[in-house]
Amino acid sequence: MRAWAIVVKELKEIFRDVGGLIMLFVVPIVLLFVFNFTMSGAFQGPGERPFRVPVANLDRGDIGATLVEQLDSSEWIAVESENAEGEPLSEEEAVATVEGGRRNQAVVIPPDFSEKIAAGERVDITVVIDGAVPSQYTGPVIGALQGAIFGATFGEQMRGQFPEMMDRQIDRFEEDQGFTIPPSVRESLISSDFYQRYIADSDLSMEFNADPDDLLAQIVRVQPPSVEREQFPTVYQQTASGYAIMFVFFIIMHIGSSFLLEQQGGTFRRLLAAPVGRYTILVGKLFPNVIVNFLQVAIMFGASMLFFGIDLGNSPLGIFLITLCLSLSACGLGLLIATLFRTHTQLSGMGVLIVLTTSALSGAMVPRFIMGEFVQQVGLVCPQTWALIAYQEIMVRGRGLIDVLPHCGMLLGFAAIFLVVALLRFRFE
Amino acid sequence: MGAILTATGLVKHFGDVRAVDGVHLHVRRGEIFGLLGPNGAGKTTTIRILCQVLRPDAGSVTVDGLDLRKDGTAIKRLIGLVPQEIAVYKTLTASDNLVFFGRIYGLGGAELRKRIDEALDIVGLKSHAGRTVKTFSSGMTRRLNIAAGLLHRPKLLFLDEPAVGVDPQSRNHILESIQRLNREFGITVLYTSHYMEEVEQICKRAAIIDHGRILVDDTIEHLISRHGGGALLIVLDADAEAAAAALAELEELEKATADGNRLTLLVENPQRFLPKILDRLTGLGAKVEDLEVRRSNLETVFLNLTGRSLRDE
Repeated sequence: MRAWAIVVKELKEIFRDVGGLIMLFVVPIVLLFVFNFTMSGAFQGPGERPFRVPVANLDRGDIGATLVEQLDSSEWIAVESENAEGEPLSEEEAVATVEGGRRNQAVVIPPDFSEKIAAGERVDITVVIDGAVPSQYTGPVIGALQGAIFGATFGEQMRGQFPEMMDRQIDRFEEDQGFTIPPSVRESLISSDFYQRYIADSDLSMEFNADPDDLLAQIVRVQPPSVEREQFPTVYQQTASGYAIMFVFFIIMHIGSSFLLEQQGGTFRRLLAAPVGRYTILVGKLFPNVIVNFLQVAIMFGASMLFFGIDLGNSPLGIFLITLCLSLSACGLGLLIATLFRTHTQLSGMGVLIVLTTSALSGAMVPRFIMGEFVQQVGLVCPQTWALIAYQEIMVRGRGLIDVLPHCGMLLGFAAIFLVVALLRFRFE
Repeated sequence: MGAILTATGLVKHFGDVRAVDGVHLHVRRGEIFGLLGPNGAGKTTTIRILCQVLRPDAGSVTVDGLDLRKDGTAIKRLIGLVPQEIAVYKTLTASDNLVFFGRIYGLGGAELRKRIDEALDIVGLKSHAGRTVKTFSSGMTRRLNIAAGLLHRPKLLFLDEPAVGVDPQSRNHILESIQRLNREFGITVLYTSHYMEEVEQICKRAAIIDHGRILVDDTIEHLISRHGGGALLIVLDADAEAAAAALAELEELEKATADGNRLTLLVENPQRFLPKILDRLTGLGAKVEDLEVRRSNLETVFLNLTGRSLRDE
């Protein structure tokens, strides 16, 4: 009976602790929804085709059209070949989708593509890839494009280059099987008569074991023109900024608790009775958190440089400005949550929920490009999103201070909104 | 002696609650003035208004001739506040706390170190300066709370229930420290409490506050002689209403009130009157379960003025 009395008492305590209940029940369910939404792009079923690839088909010939058709027939790839007005996508429009972060890769088929393939000339198909996207997310598209190129061009290529290709194929056969085909038979096999009678109008061309390097159409991977770095990023460059941002925002719990402690402990009252202004108290309390945030970012980036060899780009001033603006928005949010919650348990429960949810939506935990379109738009209302894009502009895409000013402006806007609302609600008492 | 603090017609509402309802106060330079009242009487709200933590809805305050509305910052340099809560940082050492509060008042360097030594000496914590506050006992923390209000040597020190929740030994230490501050440093003290013993022990003058109003304001001696009397607090085995009505007819009795089975009788000389009361109660068939005789003091002043006990609140 005594044990039962303790059980009942414990249950009463648990179910009367609102903050604890939020942590135990609300946080997991909200995170379940948030992660399901954010990861929806990565785990869609075959019918839903998660890779959306803008294709600027500048070629007006049949081979180009077939290539687009074959690419679109992939169960994973949805080709976007038209702009919002329903007109064929231009090269500039396709590249802009990558530069603007809406898509992580785009394909450009050159104007003379069909003509050159028919003439047996080599031709390049350009794939513009966002530098911030790791190779495991570009690989499937490149693979599918390779297959589509083979399907669309190999028949035509074979028509023009049959003798040479058949000759190479016989060489491979002899090497693999270990015997020599008599020269007379070889001559019959590589003759145009053999091609016309047995290969030209059949699917046998698909059976040829073509080396990708033998194909006339070659894939050339490039970053968008505005990107100044030649190298593609490492996975560490992408994770360093994401995790740094997430941990910077953990400061909101400390700020909220610190204000709550001073309000409830009476130290604010003592300070209000002293010859010190209210705004001086607020600035004095918030500024150290900016220093802590800078230390956090320095440690995260420093460790990533030291242990994972990441490159921070060429704009330390840009990184400084982004960190400052990010920290100000975190400080503003910290002060705001101090005005919203009255107990430490409520504050820590909701603080964790806010940090994890906004971090997930921002792409700090999972890359934005694998999220659905809607979730990506929702992510724009999180300050961390703008900080992440800004850090990647500098670290991954090699851009400078000027390029991240708009992102910093957004972060300052968030900071201003948080601070104004917080100050309207804030009471020292 | 002239007034160092004058408050006139202070009013403060919290929603529909009128927490301070026209408070007038007159504190003389160099005295220890007591503000006595039960919990919720309006003492802390009054102190917060006087220290500019809260803005009054009406009324005026002057401190050392300065008007609170015009010279708020100058007044803040003249006053010190020791709030009812333990308003120090528990993760810091005693010394770190005092350095912080000293710097808030613009002190620094050797002068600040000297003031910290002095404040710690007054409250008897000099040998504990380097200890983290969270390792302190409740009494030690209360004493540090007081030290933090002394660093800038205020002319007028507000002490809001500074000895609440501490053991008798620490309470005595605190009260002695306050008397020393007043005696040796000439600091005027406004001391709030709901313990009449504390106010009687250290104050020459006091005001009694209840429901946001000052009921009386005089020297302790005059308060007791004019409003004190004695009291008998009797707990009966049944409702005390009928007994109170029957006893009210007695000539010697100043007042008889009933609250459930509790009977409060105000009388000039309770010891002499007691046998007569017990006889009458026996005659009424009432059985006495408990009985307390209270001599004439601030407690009975409050009883006389409000019909309630300070401790019952």
